[in-house]
Amino acid sequence: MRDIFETAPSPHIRDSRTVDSIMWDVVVALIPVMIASTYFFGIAAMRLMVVSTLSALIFEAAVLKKNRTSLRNFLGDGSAATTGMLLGLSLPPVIGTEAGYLWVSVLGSAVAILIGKHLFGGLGRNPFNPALVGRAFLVIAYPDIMASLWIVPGIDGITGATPLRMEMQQYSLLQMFLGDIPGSLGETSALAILLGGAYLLAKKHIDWRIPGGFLGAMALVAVLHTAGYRGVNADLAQNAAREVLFQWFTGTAFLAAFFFATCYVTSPTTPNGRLYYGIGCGLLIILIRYYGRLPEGAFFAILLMNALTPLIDRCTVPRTFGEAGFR
Amino acid sequence: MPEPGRVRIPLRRHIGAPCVPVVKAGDEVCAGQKIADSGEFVSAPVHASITGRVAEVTDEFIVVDGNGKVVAPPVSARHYDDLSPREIIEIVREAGIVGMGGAAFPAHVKLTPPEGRTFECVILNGAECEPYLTIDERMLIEQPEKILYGLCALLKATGAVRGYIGIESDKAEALRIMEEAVSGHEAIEVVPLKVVYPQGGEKMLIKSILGREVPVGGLPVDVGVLVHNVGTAVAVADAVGEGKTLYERGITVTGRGVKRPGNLSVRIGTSFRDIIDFCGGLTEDAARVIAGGPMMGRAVAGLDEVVTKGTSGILVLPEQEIGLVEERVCIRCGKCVDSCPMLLTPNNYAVCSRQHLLEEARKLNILNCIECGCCDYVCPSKIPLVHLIRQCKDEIASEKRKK
Repeated sequence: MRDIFETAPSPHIRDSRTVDSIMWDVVVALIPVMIASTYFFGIAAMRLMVVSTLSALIFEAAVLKKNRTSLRNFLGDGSAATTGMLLGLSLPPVIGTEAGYLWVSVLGSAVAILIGKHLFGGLGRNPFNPALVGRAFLVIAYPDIMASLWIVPGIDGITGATPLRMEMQQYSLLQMFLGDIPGSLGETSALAILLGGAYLLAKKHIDWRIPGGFLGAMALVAVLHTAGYRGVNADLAQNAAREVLFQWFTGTAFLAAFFFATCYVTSPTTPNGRLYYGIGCGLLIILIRYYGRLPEGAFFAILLMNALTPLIDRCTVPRTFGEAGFR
Repeated sequence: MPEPGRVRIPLRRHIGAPCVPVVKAGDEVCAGQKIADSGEFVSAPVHASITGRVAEVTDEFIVVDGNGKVVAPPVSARHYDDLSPREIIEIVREAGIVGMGGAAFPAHVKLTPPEGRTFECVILNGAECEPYLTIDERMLIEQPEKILYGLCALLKATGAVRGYIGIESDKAEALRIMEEAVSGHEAIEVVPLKVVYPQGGEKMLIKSILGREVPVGGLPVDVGVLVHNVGTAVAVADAVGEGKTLYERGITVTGRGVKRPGNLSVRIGTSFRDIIDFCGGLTEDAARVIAGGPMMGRAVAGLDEVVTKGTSGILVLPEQEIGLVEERVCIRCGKCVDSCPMLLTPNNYAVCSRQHLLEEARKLNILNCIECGCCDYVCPSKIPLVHLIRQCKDEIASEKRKK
């Protein structure tokens, strides 16, 4: 029988959840979205996802300079794969249809990983969501590619209009829910995003407060906007419901609420903080949509809220157990 | 478990002043006899746990070699109804009773409320302090009358009018047996509790049963409550009803590293080696021996460690369950904040601790941390949060002493 044992501070047991397992679970949660985007946009979608993910992994490996000869080491902690995949899913499919545009996605991954993530110190230290930094750069640098060439699913053609404007009205809510509409790869199918989001919620990887506050705030403003625009009358409930669903299902609202806003590193750590942050994102996105000039405000809304995260954290330190005052 | 051949009885393992031996090497002692005491209020006397000869006396320990004789202890049948509160508290002190849930704080001190405070109710903690431990449940099932007797004695001693026994709701048998035992006692209630660690924490228990929060930096008496472990109630019953001093206790011996786990009654001062031998020995892959439970217990370096009045269990974990993991950078997931039963922000403490931001940590209520280990358990980056918090608290304490 052994007689000498190692000691260590308590606790002596630990949850099996690790950074890696959480990151790869996010990739798992994206599977329905990957399937939906491949279904609606075909081989172009696959090409784009592979290129953006692979390039993100290569840039990550280059920065970390670790021994990445084995596949396992190359895949790393899963954070670069998650970033690359999310970036790819936020790009318009036109980048994948023509080989001549694929470099745009590589450039996006480079900005995301090199500038968005490692310039600030790597995983856990980046104030802004790296995938969104990459995407924001592309939107500003290449507005033509990023926001005016849209592919209509099932038709081999490129339309010139931007979604979320008049053109969207021609699609039914069911089409929007399923994802049979033009848009970026991963954002069109609300159904697929809901499946992935439900998986993350069920595994307790994300807190309902962020998507809840996000979509709730959007809905509230949409109802008020409808009431103001169309007047308070008998049809208000129906009009408002349609408007809320329209705002949720089009553009990047759902993908942003479940996958971008919930990024651990760039969102608050306190429960109340997460709720306020979610509400802030929702308010900004809908105000940009109604009153701003950008066709889609989701990414900038989240980046702005990322910047507020440290402040929110400081202001929402919870009331500790036994602290006098409110309950 | 049968009496061990030799016991090494610690003199300063409970909270409070160390005891001074009142026997010397060579003296004959019998089980239950007082062998060390202290004039300090916050201290409890120590008793011989086996009958035999004192082999060695040091500042830390008194070693007794047993002679195998069983001397029937003097029986002094008393009843709490015939005793005054003061007399009961004195009996509890003389019997050397300390909190048996793990903290080992002298029980008579807790029974004496500070000036101007009164106790309104007594809560018995039958919620197991930690996962793996099942000794509270065994006590509830096997000794319900004694627990009830001890609770009544504690009510009498404190003048409290209500008694509660908190038991986790998955312990159906314990709940049923205890319910039966208390039927007819209107002032006593058995309360089923949600099964969640750290339900057995004093402050959590009070919140669950009465909905009251012990103020920051305060004690249960601040909300009119006295909390004792069910094991302590049994010890009180033994002391008051039979005149028996505290020289043995129930412990859980468990974990996949022990061949025959179980709950045992052992003498204070018995070595872990004797107990583990009795339990069939350790498995090949036994890697860590813990005094207490997995969340707050203390890892011991060898089997010469002895059972103290505060040892609630011996847990032996195999290699694969303690698998050493590499610490990673904080990803700000906030799981620690979500898990904290005291509603604190452990992520901030890790930063404060490493950068020695003592004032900042204090403002964020680090001293309210009960070191339950929940944050550390859930952390996906495996940051040693409890360790960092303890270091920071120690630094704050030593800064305070300097002033």
